[in-house]
Amino acid sequence: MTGNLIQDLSPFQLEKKIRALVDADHRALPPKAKVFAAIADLQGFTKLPRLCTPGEIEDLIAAGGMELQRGIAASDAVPALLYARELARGTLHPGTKSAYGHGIYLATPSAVGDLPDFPRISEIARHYARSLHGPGIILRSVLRNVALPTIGEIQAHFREERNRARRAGIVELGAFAAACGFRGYRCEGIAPKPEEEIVVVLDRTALVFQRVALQIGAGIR
Amino acid sequence: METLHDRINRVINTDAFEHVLERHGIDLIDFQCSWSRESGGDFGKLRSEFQEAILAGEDDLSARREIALG
Repeated sequence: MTGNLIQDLSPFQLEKKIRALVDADHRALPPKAKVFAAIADLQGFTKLPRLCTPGEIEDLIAAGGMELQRGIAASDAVPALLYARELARGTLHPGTKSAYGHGIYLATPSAVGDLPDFPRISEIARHYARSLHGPGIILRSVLRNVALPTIGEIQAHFREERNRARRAGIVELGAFAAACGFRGYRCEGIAPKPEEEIVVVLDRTALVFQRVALQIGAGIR
Repeated sequence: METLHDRINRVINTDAFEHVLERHGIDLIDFQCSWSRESGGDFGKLRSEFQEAILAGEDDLSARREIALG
């Protein structure tokens, strides 16, 4: 159950719980990614999200949900579709890219799409779906009923809890925000479309994914 | 063209990047919360300590590649 682990547990207790999960995690991940994964597990953030139809997604948006999209590129050995399926239906991967902290990075769409199941497109998602290794995938999702602090507000929390976080071995943003009980946070947009907002989602269950994804063509080597 | 966001993602897990932040007494969390707001995506607008950390991380990665080539 989600709580504020930083305040509800002593730093020693929290550090011990995190370490037990990290020690049991044998994936080839950086240590800080494993700490994030441990905290996400403690908070119940790793369970599977809901999947739904494009029509249901539109209903959720109309009811006030926030549309978010994620671009996934193919790598040398792995098609993008495999990564996409893992994100929506598999074990949560904490990721290794953490400029804004560990979590699931998504962007708000800003462009008009030309497909009925994708009436809007995120240029940032499209950018990160591109690869020379094969077609990319854009996933469409809705974030429901989640209060999203800004990254600045999380930083203010950190300044109050800095010592407790350090003593519990929490040193990066996604892990800290998740430990505080936040389910996501907003960040400034990035190139190629700074007008789009980046949302780092920490609790995967807060997302509802559309079953129909969009395939983006591969580049020519 | 590689964005500042991409550059940071490449180096943020390197020891060299972390050591520069530590030397300047900067928490990683403060870096993660501040870099975008301060720079607007422009490396040249980052405070000098952040630039130093990123460049150190990139040097670290270059050195590793040179070792791998033997």
